[in-house]
Amino acid sequence: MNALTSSRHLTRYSIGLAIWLLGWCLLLLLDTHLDLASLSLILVLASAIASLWLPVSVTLLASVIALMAFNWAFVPPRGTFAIDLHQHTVLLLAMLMVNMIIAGLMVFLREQSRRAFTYAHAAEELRTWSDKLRDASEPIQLLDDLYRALERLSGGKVNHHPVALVTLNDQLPPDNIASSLDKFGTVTADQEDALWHCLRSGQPLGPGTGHYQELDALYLPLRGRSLTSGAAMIAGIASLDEFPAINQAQALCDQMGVALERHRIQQQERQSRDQVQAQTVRNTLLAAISHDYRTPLATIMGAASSLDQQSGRLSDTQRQQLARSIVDEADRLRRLTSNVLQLARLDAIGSNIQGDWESAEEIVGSVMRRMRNHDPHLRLSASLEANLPLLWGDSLLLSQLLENLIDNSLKYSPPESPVNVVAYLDKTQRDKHQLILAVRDQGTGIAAADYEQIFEVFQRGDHRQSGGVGGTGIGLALCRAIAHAHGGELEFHATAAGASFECHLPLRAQPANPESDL
Amino acid sequence: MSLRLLLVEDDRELRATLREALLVEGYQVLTAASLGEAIAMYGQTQLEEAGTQAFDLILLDLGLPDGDGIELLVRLRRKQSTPVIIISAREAEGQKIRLLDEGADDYLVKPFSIGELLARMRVALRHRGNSMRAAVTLYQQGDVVIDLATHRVSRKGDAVHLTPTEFKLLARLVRSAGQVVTHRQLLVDVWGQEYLEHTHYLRLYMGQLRAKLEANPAEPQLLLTESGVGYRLLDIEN
Repeated sequence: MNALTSSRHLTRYSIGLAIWLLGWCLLLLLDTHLDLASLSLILVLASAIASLWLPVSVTLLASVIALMAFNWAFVPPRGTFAIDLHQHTVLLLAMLMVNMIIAGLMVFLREQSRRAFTYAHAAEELRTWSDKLRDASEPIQLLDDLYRALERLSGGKVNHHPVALVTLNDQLPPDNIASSLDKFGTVTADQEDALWHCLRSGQPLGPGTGHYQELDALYLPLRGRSLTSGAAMIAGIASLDEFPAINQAQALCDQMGVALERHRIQQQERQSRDQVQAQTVRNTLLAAISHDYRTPLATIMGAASSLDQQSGRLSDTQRQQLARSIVDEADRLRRLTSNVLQLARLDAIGSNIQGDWESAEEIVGSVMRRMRNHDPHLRLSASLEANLPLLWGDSLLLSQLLENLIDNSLKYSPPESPVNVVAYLDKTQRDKHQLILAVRDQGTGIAAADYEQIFEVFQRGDHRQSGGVGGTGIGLALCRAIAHAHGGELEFHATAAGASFECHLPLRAQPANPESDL
Repeated sequence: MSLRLLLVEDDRELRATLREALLVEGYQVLTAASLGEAIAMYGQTQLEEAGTQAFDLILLDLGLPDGDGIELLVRLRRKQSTPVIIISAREAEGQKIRLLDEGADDYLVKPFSIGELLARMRVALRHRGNSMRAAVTLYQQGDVVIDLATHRVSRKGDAVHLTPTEFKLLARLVRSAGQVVTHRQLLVDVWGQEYLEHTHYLRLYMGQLRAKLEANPAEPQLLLTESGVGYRLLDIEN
């Protein structure tokens, strides 16, 4: 930077001196052709033009030297500094005055234009900076840019003004805890204290700021509208002369402060919105669960109180029936509870299920055996493709998925119509074979219409829609959670024949089988 | 002479209900509401000693007010083989497997029906003192006959050919007919200690056995799966 400045100075001096030289050549050339007054005007002209490039001191010095040389060379008697005529004295003095006035005007003009340029540049820098901050999704990522901008303004390393930046990574702590600051650049313990003070007071500190003028560094807060998010330090500054761009630096810092504050507020808003939504979903779930518990409980309460209070007047068959319905409804409560528990468990562990190699045949087999109790009319049948590959997963969860789907089909398809459990390999996608566990019935697919709606309810927590969601909703929500935990998907297809709920499960590379011992 | 049962359960309602139901079945039932009470009823010496058995069967809850029921099981198993059936609200498979491997005879998750409990108790009582008595060598259920002594298996009167490994696996299940045998126990007994993690061997061989012995392998009646825990061969008496 210095090299650049000095080379620019050299060019300016060379041009100025060249113009003086040119003027003198012209004088010598025109010596005998023009009178003294006209010759002196050439000198005035040279001085005026040269002052465009030369600094005021040099211009004045050059003018005085030029006048004395002119006096010596051209004013009679030539070859001496003596002046014969009074009018020549007046001429020389006038020349001197004009040169000085021109030099002064030039300096003023140049200063004006330099200032205009600086202002325009500063304004442009602020504008691009604010655009950049506005476009950034994480303003904190632009701290590096701010750091470099401050370094540039202060002359940075060249002028020995090291820069440092700190920002709060959370709320302002009651005490100065180093861990709640993110730091850019290195600071001493004293400097860190000053940064904290600047951050807490929201005021610039250091020379020329009106606060702690005796400090040897400048501290600028990153101020937002209501809170300060950080502070910047430009070290090694004894007076403002060393750092004229303080206002510009403060403006850059404040823009960063505003951006950080805005970002923090947006984050807080998002968090509280998420919290409200989670709460709503939870409430919807709880409402649905308690609603579902009420029905079987009502039956149990009715049957049990009847046995308790009317026992004497009941026939044996009636008592048997009441007892039977208590057992059935208690079983319904058991399954409901199990669904709710698993849903909560899956919610907590996500897809970190405890997997093992499982056989679809065994899963279907154990589910069929259990579900037979709820299938007095023998509506259930199972058909499995031969030699199905093994699944990687949690057999208890997969059994529960099938149980819920079968339960749903038995409940919502026409009475005594068949319900089929099928398992087959889907080879339609070439590289990605899937194993499909499906339950097919001849109903319209209950819940089929409400299927997406059911999930919507649990996702958005929309109370207005939760009326139609019964135990089926929780059961299906669990089915989907189980499918997802296995990297699969739960799908519903309505066909001409009826409804089909399908669980698509991805397959893993199969384990090595033991050697056959036939 | 009726059989003596010890029922360890802290919930009063459930304890009373189970007690009544078991009395109806002709068992002599003693109850304990805590771990301390159960140990006291046993008497220190009898619990730690081999030989005399104070009870014929123990129904044990896990979550007791003064400790975990598993403590009693572990102490009891050091010397005695009294059948123990766990009754618990805890459903985690890991827990089930651990208790079965610790020597529990069966594991029932609450809530369960009396019918289910009685069936499991009958199996456990039949296997009581297995090591002393002659092991079950002839298994007959429906149209399937398995004779361990002669290595003969038949279905509907026709001989069924099994590979040596298939037979070994089936024989292990026959010896514990009606009881859950964990994956671990099967893998160790049939293949050996180093095959503990090879659950997929079991899936394969159980599939082959079902194909040979079951009328409809998709809905097995004999070779039952206890999801996540192990297998159970349908009990002879049923």
